[in-house]
Amino acid sequence: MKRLILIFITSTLCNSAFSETDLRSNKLSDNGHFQVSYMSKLEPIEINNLHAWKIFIKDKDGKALSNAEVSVIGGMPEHNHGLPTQPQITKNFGDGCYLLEGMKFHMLGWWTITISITNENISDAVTFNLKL
Amino acid sequence: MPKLSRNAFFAITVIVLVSIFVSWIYQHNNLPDWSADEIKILQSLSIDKLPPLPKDHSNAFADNLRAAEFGRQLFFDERFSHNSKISCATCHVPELYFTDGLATAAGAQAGIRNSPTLVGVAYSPWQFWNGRSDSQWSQALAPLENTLEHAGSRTQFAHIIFTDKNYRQRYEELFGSMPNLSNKKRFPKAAAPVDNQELNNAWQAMQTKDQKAVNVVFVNMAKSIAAYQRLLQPASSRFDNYVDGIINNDAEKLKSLSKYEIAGLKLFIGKAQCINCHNGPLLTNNEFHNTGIISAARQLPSLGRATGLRIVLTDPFNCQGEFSDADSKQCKELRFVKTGDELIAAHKVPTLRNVADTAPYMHAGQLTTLEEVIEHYNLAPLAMIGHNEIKPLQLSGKEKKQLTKFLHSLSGPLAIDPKWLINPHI
Repeated sequence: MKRLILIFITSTLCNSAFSETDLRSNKLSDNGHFQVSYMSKLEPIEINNLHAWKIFIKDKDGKALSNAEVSVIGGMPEHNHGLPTQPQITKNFGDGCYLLEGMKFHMLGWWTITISITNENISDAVTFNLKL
Repeated sequence: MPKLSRNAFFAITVIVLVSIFVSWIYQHNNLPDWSADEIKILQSLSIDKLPPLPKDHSNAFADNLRAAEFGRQLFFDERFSHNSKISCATCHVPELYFTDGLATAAGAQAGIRNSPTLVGVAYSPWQFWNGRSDSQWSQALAPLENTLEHAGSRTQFAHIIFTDKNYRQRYEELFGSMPNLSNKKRFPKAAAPVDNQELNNAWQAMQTKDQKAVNVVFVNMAKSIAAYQRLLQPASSRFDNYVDGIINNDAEKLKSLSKYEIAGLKLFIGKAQCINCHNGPLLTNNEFHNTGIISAARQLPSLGRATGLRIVLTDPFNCQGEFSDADSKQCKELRFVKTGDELIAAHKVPTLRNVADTAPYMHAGQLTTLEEVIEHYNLAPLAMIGHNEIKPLQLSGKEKKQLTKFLHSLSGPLAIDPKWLINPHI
């Protein structure tokens, strides 16, 4: 019985971790090297609409990184498929701000967007969750 | 058995009567039992949510009504074919929502693809089942010369416009002077860069500048046909009236769907998962999915989007090509197109608007009825090639019938003055 209760509590906590905390648009990268955030130029984000995001990248101390190499992939873990497009960074605004064009979501549900960053030989990645 | 007190008896009677009354009200008015999230989803599917047509930057004449009228005349004109018997309307019949009712098209020869509806396709960034064109005008070029379809040639078409007084006047009002095609040595009666050796030899013998002049006429024809096709948009169906009834609490409109159809709608956005791909007001995400459809009899499995990608990226008539009116940067769908292996054997998701009236189904008309389609998705067989994205649904027999019934509620008229649907040559 104790085990069942534990499973219930764990699963509840896991769900709430995804549905609430993980929907943040501002996160530390997996290994703590970069602070990354995004802002969609389409707000609210809707399906079937090609749009752009702004990506903001800082190092762990909060210094804007303006010469990072950035790539983006995404998909729906529950459906085992990726984005319908290949988004790319098309502009570097400076001050750690980059333009990401070609964002599109073609289904409702849980999406993940993984941003990979390399700056001065340090690579790290961060994954954002979206619920559409 | 103890006797009920008078009060208890009265209370039970009241409860029973109230229950009967509530049940009657529910059944009589078809009052929906929708959650707030479901209502949000239903609204997102309503025709009222259809946004304005996206601008086609590649076609400066896309929203020009004179071009659309010229396009209508070209669309119905059977002279634009190898035997003067095939027009666009041969396979895209207005009375059938611009489909032909056949498994595969019947043009100059037996075709290999189902003729899709043209209604609402102006919203799609990709044309053809494999998305090998990125605009309606570049799509319109291909069937005109395809040996299975019109089997004509671009110099033949240019000569028709050049010699037909009505067409030439309309063309020149829109696009400026036509090239002088009267020299048949420079401009052969039939020439095109196609597989047909005779037509190709004639084309290769032409000067580059003459080829370009003919290409411009060919493209302007297609841009006019596209301007016409952009007008073919769906109007409200019974489903849309029902959603309107929910939003505005309109008892009359809530009667637009039967209880059985409402149950089907619940499945559509729930257990049956249709909404995964058939979303938005046109009930399509206009993307490509592998759903494990078997190949048609005597056909190899289609590579679908994998083939379409290869073609569209090298198509001289794509959005970034010399005949496009777009700035290269405006061709965003092409610039950010997904490549790679994920979309092998994936085909375009068709609109479900008017679906009950546009059988047969799938890219080669493999499935004849909606019942067969639903059974296919219910079973979710392994894909012949690539990966089937769908999983078995485990719908009961009753649920399959409810879903089928609901799909019949998606038919409606076109949002266009009927004069546009008339063949001007009869």
